[in-house]
Amino acid sequence: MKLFRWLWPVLTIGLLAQGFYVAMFVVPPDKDQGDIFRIFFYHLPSWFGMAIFFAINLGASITYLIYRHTNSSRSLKADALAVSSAEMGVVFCTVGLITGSLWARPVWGIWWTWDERLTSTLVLYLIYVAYLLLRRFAAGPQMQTLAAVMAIFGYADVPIVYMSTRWWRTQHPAPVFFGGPNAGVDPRMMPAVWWNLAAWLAWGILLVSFRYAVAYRDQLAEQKAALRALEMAG
Amino acid sequence: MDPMFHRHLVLAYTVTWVIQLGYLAYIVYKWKAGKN
Repeated sequence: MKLFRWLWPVLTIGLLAQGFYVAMFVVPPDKDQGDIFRIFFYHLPSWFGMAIFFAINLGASITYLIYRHTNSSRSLKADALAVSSAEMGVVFCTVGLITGSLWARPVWGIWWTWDERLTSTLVLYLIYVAYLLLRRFAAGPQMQTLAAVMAIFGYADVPIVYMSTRWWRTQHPAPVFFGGPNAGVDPRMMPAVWWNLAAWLAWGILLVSFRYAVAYRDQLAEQKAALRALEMAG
Repeated sequence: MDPMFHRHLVLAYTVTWVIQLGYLAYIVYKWKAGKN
């Protein structure tokens, strides 16, 4: 654990530096879009990060619901992981929406369009912002249960976002992975894709582990305070 | 390069870092607030 505490941040910083270097100075500019295409190397990892951390949030929420009456320690840990991963997912989603918009303005000539991919992503973003607001402004085990149920329903939008470019004719470009014969990026650009995917996932894991430790500590303190209040009342 | 392309590329990378480091700062703040 001590090794992780020091090695992981060092590894993450190294990956981020390498990812930036490869994206900016190693891979060639796109033949149609030129250098603006380099936004993609930060845009794509944001969506991967979002999908992974929302999936972790789903798993943690289900775990919380299973153990909330039988195993207090496990349910607290699951709830701490749920809030940490949801926050990280929202951060990645924010980055993905903004970088996408910054790319769209010079390439499409517009900041935003209400096509299926963009709209379903915005809905997903709003669902998880609502989830975090619920957690922020309500309190107690009922809030945790409500939040866990909301997370399960909220995650139903993730497959819709993923499939939107396959189900409908959208303005958004075809998927990079598993998108069919004409999809994907120039293979010469793939090193920038892989380095930045690894770098931003390492960054996400680092921040979620840190946030998890803070959330779990706060929950233990809250539980202790509630027990003390009960003792005093009794 | 088209000046708008250059501006938007720089902006996209800057915004990414500002948001991610902002979230890190928020976690550090929560951690410090809980210690007191």
